[in-house]
Amino acid sequence: MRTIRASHLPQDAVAATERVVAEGGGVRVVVPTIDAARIDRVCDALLRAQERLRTMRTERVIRAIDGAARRLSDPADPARADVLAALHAVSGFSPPMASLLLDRVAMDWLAPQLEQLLDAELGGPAAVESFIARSPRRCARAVAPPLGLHVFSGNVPGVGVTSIVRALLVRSAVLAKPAAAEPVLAASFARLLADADPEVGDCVAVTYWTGGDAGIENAALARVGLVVHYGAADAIADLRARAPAHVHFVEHGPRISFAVIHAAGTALPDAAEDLARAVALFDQQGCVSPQTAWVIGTRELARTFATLTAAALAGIQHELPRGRLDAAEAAAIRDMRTRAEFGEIAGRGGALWGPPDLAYSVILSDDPAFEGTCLNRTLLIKHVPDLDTLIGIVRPFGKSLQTVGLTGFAADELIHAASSLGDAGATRITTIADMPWPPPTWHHDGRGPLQELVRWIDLET
Amino acid sequence: MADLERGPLLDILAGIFTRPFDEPLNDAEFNAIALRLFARQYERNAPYAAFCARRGRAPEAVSHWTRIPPVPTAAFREVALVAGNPDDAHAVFRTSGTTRGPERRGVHYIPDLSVYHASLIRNFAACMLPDGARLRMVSIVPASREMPDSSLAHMIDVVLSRLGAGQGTHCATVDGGIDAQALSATLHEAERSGVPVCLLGTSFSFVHWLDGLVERGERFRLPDGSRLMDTGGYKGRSREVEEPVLREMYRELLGIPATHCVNEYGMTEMCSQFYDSTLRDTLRGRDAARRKLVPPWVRTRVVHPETLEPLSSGETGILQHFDLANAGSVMAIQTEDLGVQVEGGFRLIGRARGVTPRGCSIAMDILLDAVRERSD
Repeated sequence: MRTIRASHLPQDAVAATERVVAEGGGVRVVVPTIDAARIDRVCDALLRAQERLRTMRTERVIRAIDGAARRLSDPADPARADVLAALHAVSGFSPPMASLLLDRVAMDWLAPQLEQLLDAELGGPAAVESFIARSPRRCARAVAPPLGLHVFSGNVPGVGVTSIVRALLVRSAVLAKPAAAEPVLAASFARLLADADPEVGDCVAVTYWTGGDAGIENAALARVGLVVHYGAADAIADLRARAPAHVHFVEHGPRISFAVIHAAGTALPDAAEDLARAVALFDQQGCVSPQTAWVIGTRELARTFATLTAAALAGIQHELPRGRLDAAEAAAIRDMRTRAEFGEIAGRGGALWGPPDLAYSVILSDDPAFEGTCLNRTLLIKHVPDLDTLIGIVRPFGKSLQTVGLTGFAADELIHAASSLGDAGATRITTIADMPWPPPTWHHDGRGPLQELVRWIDLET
Repeated sequence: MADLERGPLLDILAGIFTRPFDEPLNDAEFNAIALRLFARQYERNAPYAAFCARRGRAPEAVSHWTRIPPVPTAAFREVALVAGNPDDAHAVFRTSGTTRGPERRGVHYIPDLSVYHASLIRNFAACMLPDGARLRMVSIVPASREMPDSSLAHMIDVVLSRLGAGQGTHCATVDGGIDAQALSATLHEAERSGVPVCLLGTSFSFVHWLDGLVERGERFRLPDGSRLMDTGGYKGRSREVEEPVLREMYRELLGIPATHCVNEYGMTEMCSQFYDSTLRDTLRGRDAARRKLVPPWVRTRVVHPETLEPLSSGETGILQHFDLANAGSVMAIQTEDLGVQVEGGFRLIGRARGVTPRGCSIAMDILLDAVRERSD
């Protein structure tokens, strides 16, 4: 049994006793037992460390992050091996999927990407170091709360580390709570960060506690100026209700993404290949993962497209096998398949493609209504006569929309489609192939990733 | 026994319901009847035939009952799974609606009640009345004339009229719920007369009633030999109580020891039920862990949730039942229940859907939110 310690805490806050948070597949993940008093000491240490971070040059912060990211990408590094083992044994991703995901997400934490992010968001690194001229008589400086509590969800590996990285770039120290389903990556990253530059590493603490533990969370909420919360709507609402009014609350709740295939302008086999890959990546757990695809065109075209997509998913299964399903996930998929299959048998339309082992399921539905799936490579394919019909269907769900992947639209149609979809609530329009991989500079849920962390101080002369 | 390959099926079935309860049909016997039922169901039930054909499992391709395609319980919501014309069914049972919106209800058509009744009487008698007692039956489920859709109400009515002493008593109605006064009177009468009773009901209504007893400071010492059957989940209709805690409440408030408290696991889609082993074991001097007993005419398999491959004893997986009493609908049933095979039966772990998987809950939350906003 391989034991992985999924925490990174200041020396004086490390507890003597540990508990197991996840176990399986030859891996045991342990964290120190923690309580409100200990969280308070962690916050003391983080706030002390942040005083040094405040005056640190951006270059140095970026160098530390870049160094940690490179080690996570290094096949010879034991930290990478720990992360991959946990992504497989605890999160359930297949080994090839775990490697691919780690390689891709770690790219976003390299120096050039971080510099690009600061440029895009704050006009360069200077704005967090001092006042920068904005107009002849006005300077401005971006300031983030000294300490933030970051709560992560377990669906997509790396999102938590990205949150830590963004905070460090604007000089905000981080107390992070990973999800039980993905407890290792953030802690490993924090340790590598401390190896690369101890003073930067001191600004990050990562440990797990059971979500909703009011004693621990209220102790943290009393010390932070910022909460960044990824996860389920009820967990976010619960913490938000307990946060003091002055705490700046940034939330990334559940969102749903879909694809639109304008059949007339598309090479369907290529679109099917792209869609299958977007569905397969992270086993469809991402908020950017397509759950439903609407074909603009006839039922026959939708059926052809479904056949092609199913074949593409079957091919991907060899390269990037689907991860483990728990009994509830498998039962949900079977339930969806049963409805589709017997709907077809009963002559109510619909059709199902998918192997008995649930590697993937493609369901053609004649009901164009808005619907999501139960993920893990379960895709609904529907058809509508035109874009306006589709806009009418998705508009009521606008607040929950995230990414829309488009294909087959001519340049002028694309602008029109993007505007309509944006008006309906979507925050990101992209190609189907790019759906799973938003660039580091993306406006996550429609907001600037660094801008949403800072407030501006204006100096007028 | 009649010729299993050629004799009339209904006669053969009637024969197996009278066999010794502890002697399951051997594999050859079970297989012979199962294959005949399968062929019959395939022939008379177009949706099931389509389901099998899609899996390349027409009767001519199946030589062992383990290869018969089990139909998911969810399919009963989609099509009429009956060997024959649904309009000719003796009885029609429906699953209860769910709280999750306008989902269809599962429908189980029973073409021939005699098969159903023969199996349920035999099963109940073996597991609840292994001492051959004729007890006063007291039900806290409304009578089936009030709940014609409910297979549980139907089953209890049959038990009351065929296996009980006297008429049996229903102490509940659909509109009024449990009639606590009538129930108390009946139980006090049992205490006075020393004649044991058999209480029957759903777990959630027992909890509801017992909570009321505690509030009123009421309790009973039911005569020795009294027993109780509870069944079903809670579905938010009362507070949820762990089984061992509930059994302690039965002992404390009713005077029925845990050995005489039997949990029944049944479903609308299946004619056979599974009862806890405790009462039968105890009354026959056997000391063994509590498990669900599989009647001789049923085979239960535990399969892997992803692959549906059979699991070894001790491993948790999805339950599949092959129930010869489901002669008129579909014999092979795939549930959404989790269980584990143990010596002499299986243990029920719970619903696979008990925990809603994350993706579904997100999709569902989003849909519900949007619906709510539109109706506001």
